Amino acid sequence: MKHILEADGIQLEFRGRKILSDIYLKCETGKVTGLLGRNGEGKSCLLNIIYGSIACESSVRFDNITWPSQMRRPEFLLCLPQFNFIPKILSLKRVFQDFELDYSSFQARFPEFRGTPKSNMGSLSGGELRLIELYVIVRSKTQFVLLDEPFTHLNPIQIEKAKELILEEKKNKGLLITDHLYKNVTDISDNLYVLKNGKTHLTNNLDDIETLGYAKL
Amino acid sequence: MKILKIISLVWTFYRSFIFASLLITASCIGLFWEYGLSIFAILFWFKVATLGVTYYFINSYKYREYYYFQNLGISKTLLWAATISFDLFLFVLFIFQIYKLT
Repeated sequence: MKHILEADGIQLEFRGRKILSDIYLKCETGKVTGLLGRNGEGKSCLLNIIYGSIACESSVRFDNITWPSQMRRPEFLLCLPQFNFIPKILSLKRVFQDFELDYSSFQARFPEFRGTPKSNMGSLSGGELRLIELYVIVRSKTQFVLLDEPFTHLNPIQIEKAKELILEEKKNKGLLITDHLYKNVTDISDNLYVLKNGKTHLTNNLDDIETLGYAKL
Repeated sequence: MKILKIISLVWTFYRSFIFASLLITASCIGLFWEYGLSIFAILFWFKVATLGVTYYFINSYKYREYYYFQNLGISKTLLWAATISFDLFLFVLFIFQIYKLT
């Protein structure tokens, strides 16, 4: 069954400066939705508002029903923030147990990964940490996933594998992704928004990215 | 969610400040042993104040880990309500035991 996540009516300002004011964003299961925007445009804030970790005037709807932040449970929505979020004291085995995932499947997909189930998160490199975080969030059973800069610290081979994983998982969920490595985002996105001056613009083709002043193609 | 998983996750969060918290509780117990019931109110509010400092510290330096717990269905409110209640329970329990001994 197809599900739809929508966000609009968002008003966010910091110290009198309007960050988000004219937002409409739609994410569907079975699709990858990309979100691009320059630094400081409010991409991470928008993801956090949808996730419920930033409170502000907003309307977030799940299948056309308003979705209060306390209802945003992990079985519906998960979020990969732009920073490392897994406590460093935890072992890989514990992290996979918590997310009810199989470590051997991860190892089969990423045979070059050097860690073992007993390794602590604190002993991993930045790229390895990001890979684990991305994997557990994308693979978990949920309806929607918000990915904030998922490709940061990953090497090119890992990025390609991560994109394969995302495309594979879009059969089961809807994914909203933002990253400054925009070619990786455009490669896998079914819909693409550009956030500019507090407003979301749904692009029709890649040229719109340049027209909207995000990147030179 | 299974109750054991919730306890395990809350315990993981509590571990991030358990050492400092138990050290403060132990200091309070030492002072209570020395001066008795007359300083209980001071010790209690001191303990509450240090929990406030802990809350500020964790929110400033470990806020990123909230996403781990929230992604597993444990809200920030639940984390703090459970750990502060347990920590204060331990404090009162130990004080009461010392009071019975003296």
